[in-house]
Amino acid sequence: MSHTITIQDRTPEFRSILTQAQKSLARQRKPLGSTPQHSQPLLSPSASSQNGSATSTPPTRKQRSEFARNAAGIGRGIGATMGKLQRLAELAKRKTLFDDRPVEIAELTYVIKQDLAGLNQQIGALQQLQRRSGTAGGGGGAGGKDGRGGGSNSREEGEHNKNVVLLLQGKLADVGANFKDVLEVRTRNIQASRSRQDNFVSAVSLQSQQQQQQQQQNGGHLDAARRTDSPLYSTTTTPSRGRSPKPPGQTSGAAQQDLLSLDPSSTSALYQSNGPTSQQQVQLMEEGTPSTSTYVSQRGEAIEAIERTIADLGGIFGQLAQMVSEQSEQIQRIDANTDDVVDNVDGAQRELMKYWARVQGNRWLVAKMMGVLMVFFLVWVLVAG
Amino acid sequence: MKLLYIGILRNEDKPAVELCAERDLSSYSRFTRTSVGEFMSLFCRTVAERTRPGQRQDVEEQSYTFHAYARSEGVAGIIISDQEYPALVAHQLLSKVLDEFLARYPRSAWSGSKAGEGCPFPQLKEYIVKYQDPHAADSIMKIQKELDETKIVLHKTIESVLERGEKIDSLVAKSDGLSAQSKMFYTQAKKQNSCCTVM
Repeated sequence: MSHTITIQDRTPEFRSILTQAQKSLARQRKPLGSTPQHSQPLLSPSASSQNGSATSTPPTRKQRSEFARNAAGIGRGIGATMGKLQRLAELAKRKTLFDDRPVEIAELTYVIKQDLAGLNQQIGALQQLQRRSGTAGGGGGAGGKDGRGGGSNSREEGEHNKNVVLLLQGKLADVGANFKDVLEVRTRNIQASRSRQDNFVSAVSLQSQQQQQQQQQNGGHLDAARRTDSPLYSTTTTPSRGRSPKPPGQTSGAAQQDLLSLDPSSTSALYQSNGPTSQQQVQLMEEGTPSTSTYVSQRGEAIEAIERTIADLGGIFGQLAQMVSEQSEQIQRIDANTDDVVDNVDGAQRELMKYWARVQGNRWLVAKMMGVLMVFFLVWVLVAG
Repeated sequence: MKLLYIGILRNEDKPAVELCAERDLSSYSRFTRTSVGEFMSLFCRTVAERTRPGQRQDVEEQSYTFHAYARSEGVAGIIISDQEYPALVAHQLLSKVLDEFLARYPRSAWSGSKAGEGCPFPQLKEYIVKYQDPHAADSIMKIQKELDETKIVLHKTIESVLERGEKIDSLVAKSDGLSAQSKMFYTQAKKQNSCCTVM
């Protein structure tokens, strides 16, 4: 982000428009005493209901200005948040090694986050109000028998309210996107500064690469900003960061050894990433980070395992689909075979039926055949005998 | 795999103060419960004092593991568990609990000099009960477990599909034989008809 965010704070314009509208409404209400003209920004639902009733003008104004008030408040909030975001962007851009102010950055980040959440809520409430007023205004306008443009009024005011809400939401989304960019810049700067620190310390490049990978994984995630803020915070509190951290016996070293007394075996997470030999060299750099890096790396590994499992499942489903499609071809063969069987058996049955019919009608021929046989038999007997 | 203690302490100044805590001492006999509870508090205070802000630590001592996470705001969360309990789940629970606690009580509520036990936090009780089984409570582990089960189911499915394939092969063979036999039947029937036309 080499350019600053140019904020155009137009809330005074907004307010002046509001006052103008109120004055014009008051002026129009006095002579007409009836439906105001359609150039009413942010007209509220009860406006259409009070056609012709001058007594209920105060509630109109109050309700109209409620929407306007909320919208104006949200706009102001967005403006203030953009200002804070600009300040944070400035802080994040600084690349100095020693003048870093992580506490302020962390506080600003926290405050901006709260602001964004609050503004989101307010915009949600405003949207609900607009929806309620839109439907109520539409219903009131449609039911109003005046037909003096009351229906068109509520439609237009509903549309205007919707546009206002959309505009505010768009602005909030912009602020959110800028916030994310600033956080990314901040993490990149932290990486850069840490890599510069590493030039003073040997045998740490591997560790910082791990950090960079994890920070890239968590880039843009608000939690990561706080987590990466804290190692910087912890390293800035140690006085001897610039010097080579070889000499042992620092105050932190004493704390480390005290912790050692609680834990007889050196299996605590502090030493998991480095060998115990080089721990004193790197403990100043990595006091905060080994535990967070192992935690973060563990989470990353767990999530990678889940990813791998899901990929495996995908492969298995593919194999399943392939096998089933191969088997479908065989099933088609079986189908064809059974069709053949049916045809053949049908044909055979037809032939047999023909044969049977012939045999049925052939009594005479059978008798003749038997007679011929008897004749031959007699002849043979006579010849033989 | 047991969770014995979840607690939030304030570790800005030297004698760390316990802000809220939940213990699950059902595994100890009634006589030793109070002393075990006191030991827990004492150890937690020591560990919290030694944990620097922004740092996560796992300390092992006599078959118990203390998972500690100190926030830069000056509070630290400590979980005591046995050694089997996965550290990842413990730290995720710590982050979650600390976030909720900080969202609920702003700094003023607990940063008094002797704020003591003014911040009741009933969710700790639910969490300590829920997270006794990390595989069901933690989302990553739950997903992993479900995925493993799905994989087993899929393996069985593939085996049954292979069996189906074999059965389909035998069906193909049988239907081939059947169609051949029916063809023979047909031709023989036709022969019957064609040969003895004299009669």
